[in-house]
Amino acid sequence: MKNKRILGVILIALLVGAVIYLNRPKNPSSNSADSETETSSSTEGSGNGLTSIEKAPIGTENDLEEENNEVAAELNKALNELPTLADLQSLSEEEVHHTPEVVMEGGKLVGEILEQAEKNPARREETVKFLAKCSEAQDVVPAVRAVCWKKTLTQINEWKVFIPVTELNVSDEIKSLGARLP
Amino acid sequence: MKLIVLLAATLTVSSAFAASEFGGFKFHSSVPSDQIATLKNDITYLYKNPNTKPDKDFFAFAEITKGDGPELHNWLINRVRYIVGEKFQLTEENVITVEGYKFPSTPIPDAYSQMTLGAEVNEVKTVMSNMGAAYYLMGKTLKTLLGLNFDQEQVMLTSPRIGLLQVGEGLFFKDFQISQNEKSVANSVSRLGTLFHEARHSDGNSKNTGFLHVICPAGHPYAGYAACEVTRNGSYTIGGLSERYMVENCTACTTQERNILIARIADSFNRVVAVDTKTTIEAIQKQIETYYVIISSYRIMINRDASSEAKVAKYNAEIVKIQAIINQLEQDKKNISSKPQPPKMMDSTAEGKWTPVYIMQSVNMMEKSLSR
Repeated sequence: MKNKRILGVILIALLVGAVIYLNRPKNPSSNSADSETETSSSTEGSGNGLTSIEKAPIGTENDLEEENNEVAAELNKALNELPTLADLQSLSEEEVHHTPEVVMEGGKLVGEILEQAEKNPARREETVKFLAKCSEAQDVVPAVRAVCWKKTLTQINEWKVFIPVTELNVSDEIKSLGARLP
Repeated sequence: MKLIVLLAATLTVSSAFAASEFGGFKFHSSVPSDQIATLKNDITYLYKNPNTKPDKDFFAFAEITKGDGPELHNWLINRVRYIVGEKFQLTEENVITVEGYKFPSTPIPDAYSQMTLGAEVNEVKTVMSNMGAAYYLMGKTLKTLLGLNFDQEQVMLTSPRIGLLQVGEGLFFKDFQISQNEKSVANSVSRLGTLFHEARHSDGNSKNTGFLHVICPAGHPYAGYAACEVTRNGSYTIGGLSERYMVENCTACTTQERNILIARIADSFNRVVAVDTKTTIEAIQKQIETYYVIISSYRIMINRDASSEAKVAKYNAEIVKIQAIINQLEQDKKNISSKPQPPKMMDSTAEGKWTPVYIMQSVNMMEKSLSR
């Protein structure tokens, strides 16, 4: 009776060991940074429910380039969603007295993009490029452009993203407004 | 027994229409209880939040020294005391008028002609407006002191510093909130920023009474709307700076919330502009033309009701009042300089008669309310 119990325990231990062995990490170089990327990718979600980790192993240059392209396309789309000067033309006097909802939506969108980049370092380079483009976009409302410019300057330093950004295409009005923001 | 029932009923009715009070702010019975609760929460946050990072600009423009909760609360309570709800209107039933009241003999602000009093649009929800400054200037123009029955209290608008504000659903509307979490600090910061903005309209004197907004010049994102200011220390600046100060000291705000608030701050700062004299003159002219249309309507009514002496006298009296406003507007038009003026600091000393609240008094008011 006692021998049977011991045999049962050994069998269970073997089964658990086999399961752990089969599920061991395939890439021995996986580290904490990769797992951070995996977490972020899963939260973003992809159309078929698979994360980018499941689609392909991490680490190859092609994969990184593909991910960057996806982020760039996503942020280019976001650029077109920012509030424009034309959006302010149809508002009533009452709506314009305090900051209109459409301007706050612009701030929210920039905030969402920054939040994603904070969680996923792989998005940071493209995010800074997005911020620079937003600062230059003349049809976007100045308040949002000023937020973008302020964040372009702060995030380059904070994230240590080395991307050439020029002031030349950003108007003095936006630069001076951005300088007064927290 | 009947007497007791009657007494109880009377007490119930009177308490149903009684104003409530918190930290010195008096809420009219027209303010819904959930809005009062939210504002109480905001005021408590302002009073208790330890602000560790000072903002030199905010301190200088608001003329404060420490920037701690009690001082900020005191700043507000000296400019906002009476709060009415969105449905409140000054009507014949609740208005009090004192003719012949002696107002300060200072000129009316040029921008008064651009004010959009009563320009409410049904589909749009009111956020907040400084009714006190508007009715003070209206009274001064008509040479009649205006006041109102604030539930059981008579409030006479002898100065914009009497502090009469209207709050609307827009201030609490979920879609306009910074965060969907109603109790989030970021929502309090944005509402308090709006409160600081409106409170500033209780300041200023003479041509600068109420720090009124002006029409934004051509080329501005809000061109044509009375949504700009030509002073460096006006409502948009104070609103924006107060939010900047609170955002810098907000430890509970998320990145997303911070960025919405920063967009609001940028939007406020971007409304400080140089004086656009051409647009101002055009706006005054438009106002004058509107008043002439009103006069011609009264003349039509005089012809129609010619048989009624009382009606004719009433219409004629109205025409005289409107003509006085037109004369004032014509004078304002002449006084406007033809050169563009850059924004400058204005004297914020308030006009009229009011009783200041000292810091110890406002601290007592707040502590009493918090201990309840």
